[in-house]
Amino acid sequence: MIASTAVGMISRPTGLPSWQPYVDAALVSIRNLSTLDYRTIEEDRRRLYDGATREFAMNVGAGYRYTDQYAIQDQEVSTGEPTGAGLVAVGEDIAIVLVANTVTITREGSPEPTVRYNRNLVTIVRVDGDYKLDDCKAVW
Amino acid sequence: MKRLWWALVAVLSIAAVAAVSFAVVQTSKPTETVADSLEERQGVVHFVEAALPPLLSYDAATGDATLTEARDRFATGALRDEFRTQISQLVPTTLEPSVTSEATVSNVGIEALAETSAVALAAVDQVITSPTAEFHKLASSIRLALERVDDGWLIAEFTVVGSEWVKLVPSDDEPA
Repeated sequence: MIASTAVGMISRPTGLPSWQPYVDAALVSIRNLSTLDYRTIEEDRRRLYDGATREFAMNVGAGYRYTDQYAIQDQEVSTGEPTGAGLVAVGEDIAIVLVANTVTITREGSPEPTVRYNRNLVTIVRVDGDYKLDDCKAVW
Repeated sequence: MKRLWWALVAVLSIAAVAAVSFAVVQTSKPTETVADSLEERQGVVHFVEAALPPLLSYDAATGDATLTEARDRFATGALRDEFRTQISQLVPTTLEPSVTSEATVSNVGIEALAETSAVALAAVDQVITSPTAEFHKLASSIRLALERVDDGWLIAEFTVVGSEWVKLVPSDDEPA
């Protein structure tokens, strides 16, 4: 029985590449980054920063404080829906992932939502076993 | 007889311990997949970078000939069978007279990669020009299903997962 269990363990396919956690983290990061409700904006940003490095929160996050004021003013609600993510490069404890994202934005006074399609190069780093958002650049 | 019995028990015990040890070693070290190979990933990226520009570029002066040549060289399966329909979904104006589409690939990401198949996500920019229309760029994200044929890759499926027009400001030496 022991031997058959051992054989079962050997033949069990894993399937996923070692870099898959970086891609999964990039998908979650982009969804969190582009999903925002003016009524819960602080909570939404906290969720993003919880999955990000301290450097991201300090550097990139500083810019959001400015744009978030407009989101509150316009009573904006945006929903991000990543439509694809693929590995561009991977190193030791770092990877760059291309993420395609669809963002639907509604604003007070605008009857029709605005839909934007964008592409991002997302840098994910592994810190103490966790996969964290470290940078995000739009691909224009 | 008793000695033979104990010898058999010892041999089976050693075999069981060896099998478990082997299994523990095998499961504790990460199993390298095809997708973990940098060389394999680069092979897919280089193919996509080479294939998409001719498949999505069009020049009225050269007509359909270059598109057909690109299709025959890079497409297979559904993409080859429904080539015109699929590319016209991305750029409806591509096949109109006097229209030029120049495609470039800015980034390619690997979504999945196995021995005989791969899925890639490409960020593609197409600069569309025509004598009447404004000067535009179409920024798209395209998912490609690839099949390995012989020692190379071919595109079997082509899905636009998002695209957006970007208005370009023409420079002095470019058509307005």
